[in-house]
Amino acid sequence: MLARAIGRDRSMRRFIEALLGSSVEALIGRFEQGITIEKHIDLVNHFFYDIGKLEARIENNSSAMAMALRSAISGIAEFCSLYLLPQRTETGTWDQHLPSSKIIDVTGLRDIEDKGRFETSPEIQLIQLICLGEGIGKNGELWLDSELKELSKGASWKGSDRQIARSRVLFALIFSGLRSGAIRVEDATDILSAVIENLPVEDWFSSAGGFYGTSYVLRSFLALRDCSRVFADYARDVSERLLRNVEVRRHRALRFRTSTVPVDASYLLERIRFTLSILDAADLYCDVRYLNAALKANDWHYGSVRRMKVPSKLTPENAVDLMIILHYIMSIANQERLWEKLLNE
Amino acid sequence: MKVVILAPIKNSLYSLLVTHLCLREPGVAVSGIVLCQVLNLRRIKSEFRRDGIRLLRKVWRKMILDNQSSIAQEEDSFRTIARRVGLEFRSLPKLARKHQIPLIRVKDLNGTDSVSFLKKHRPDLVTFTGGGMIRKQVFNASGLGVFNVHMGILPPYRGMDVVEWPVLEGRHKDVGLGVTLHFMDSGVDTGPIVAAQRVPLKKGDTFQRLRARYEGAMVKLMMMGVKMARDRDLQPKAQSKDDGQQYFVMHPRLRHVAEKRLASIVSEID
Repeated sequence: MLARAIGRDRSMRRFIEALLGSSVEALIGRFEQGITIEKHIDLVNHFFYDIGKLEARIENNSSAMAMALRSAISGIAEFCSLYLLPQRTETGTWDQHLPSSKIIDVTGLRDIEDKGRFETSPEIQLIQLICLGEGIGKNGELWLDSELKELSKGASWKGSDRQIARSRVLFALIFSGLRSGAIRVEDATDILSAVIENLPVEDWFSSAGGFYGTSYVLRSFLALRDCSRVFADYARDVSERLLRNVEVRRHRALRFRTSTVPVDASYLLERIRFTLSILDAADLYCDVRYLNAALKANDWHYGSVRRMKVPSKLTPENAVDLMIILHYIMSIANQERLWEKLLNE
Repeated sequence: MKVVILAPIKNSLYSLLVTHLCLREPGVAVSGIVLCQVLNLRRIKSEFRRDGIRLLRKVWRKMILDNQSSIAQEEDSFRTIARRVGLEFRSLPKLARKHQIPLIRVKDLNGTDSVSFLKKHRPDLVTFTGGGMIRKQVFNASGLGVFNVHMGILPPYRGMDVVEWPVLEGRHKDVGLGVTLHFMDSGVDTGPIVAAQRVPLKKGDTFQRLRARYEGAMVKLMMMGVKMARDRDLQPKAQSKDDGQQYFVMHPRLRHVAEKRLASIVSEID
């Protein structure tokens, strides 16, 4: 209709292009650009300001949760200082709100491998927080071997609520144990072998939805992909399905079967964890397609995360919001680490 | 040999050129045109889901400017080829009326109207010139099959933005840049390959200019395939799943890097 209204005349169209061409193209370009990295860093900066205040408030709190949180914040701050620090934002550098003790001196640490060791610890601390939330390791001690044996007895992704809940914690622990070296690879491979039967590739992101909590399953398989051909194929096929789900379904990606989602769970938290899985795949396969998907996913999370506030007190009720914010910060820092690694930019 | 053309919009220059050239080709008869309706909510939703905000750019360039922009005047673009081959018509219905070609307007290329039309006209070959994904029921009614020219080199680069991806990944030299003619199947660009044509980079190229030059290669390759089918000279080569991977719409930040890399590559061309 519009084209008809404009007319069929070639010179008319040329006139329209000369008159409006650059502004229309610029406007579309602005829409296309979406969320810039500067906006993400500004948000991280803003969160760190509030996290700094929360940290000061819980400084003398000796509960296991407060200690784990302090440790996680410290690890995330260190990690961020490596990958987000050199970037200028609209409001200055993000680190101005961080205690100086949390900033790593990057001199002599420019090598990717050197920096890699800082990537692991914050996530392990975050998982410790999850475990505390589930009533595991309340005394600040976690006997991984015995916990794994105990949890794996009644864990299933297709069983009762309790079995699914056990699966969620089990695989978070396996992932954390593999990253920290606290569990033997053989112990993890036995448990993961059973997953291939319990959760065939076709069940991941099928039309019925995904399984809430399986991000750590995928990340464990990715970590152990060199153990066997079966593990490698499974990790590759599931990663490809995840990539396709995110790219094709876009904002509607990463939906979960309601039967697998706990009452107090946050869909957003698991979506960000899956974004971290996509970044793991980008890293391990050195594949920019995954980084591409993670960039988009982080942009989609931005709108929801921006509306969140760092809680002023640490209580089990507001822990989820804090976890979302910390995972989002991890995801942005990890994205920037891979940007540097895969693109040399 | 009877050919049916699947077209995305009534003024698609690509569809018009393929129809026009088929009409001029001895031993080839255009037995029908299936035209997809633009103002169709389902189609708009599906294209928006695939292209996102970029759909606006497509509407602006193709529908509002009707391919009259300065880039569209690039050597080998649809517009210049149309001028070269003396294409008189700007609309498929008018071209169809002039040559008494049956034309049907459908909401969905995979719908029952479209399939019935194909069954009625029993083409030996169908050429796809845009309009969304094609499903099994259309393949089954398409004689030899459905030809598509993909804007990338197959099998390594399937899917979207495959002009940009090889440059970003630094594989423009070993894989090359260009277009591939293949039979469509239920996968994304996974059907048997008929032929490919490389499009070399030139000094001063941008992705927009490069895409404009791809257009000429697309028309040539499609017509080459039609002639090969007429002469029973097709030797399609099946692809295996692991020969390539699917690419998706490139994030604007990555696109910016790809643009920088292309500028650096073409600046070294003499």
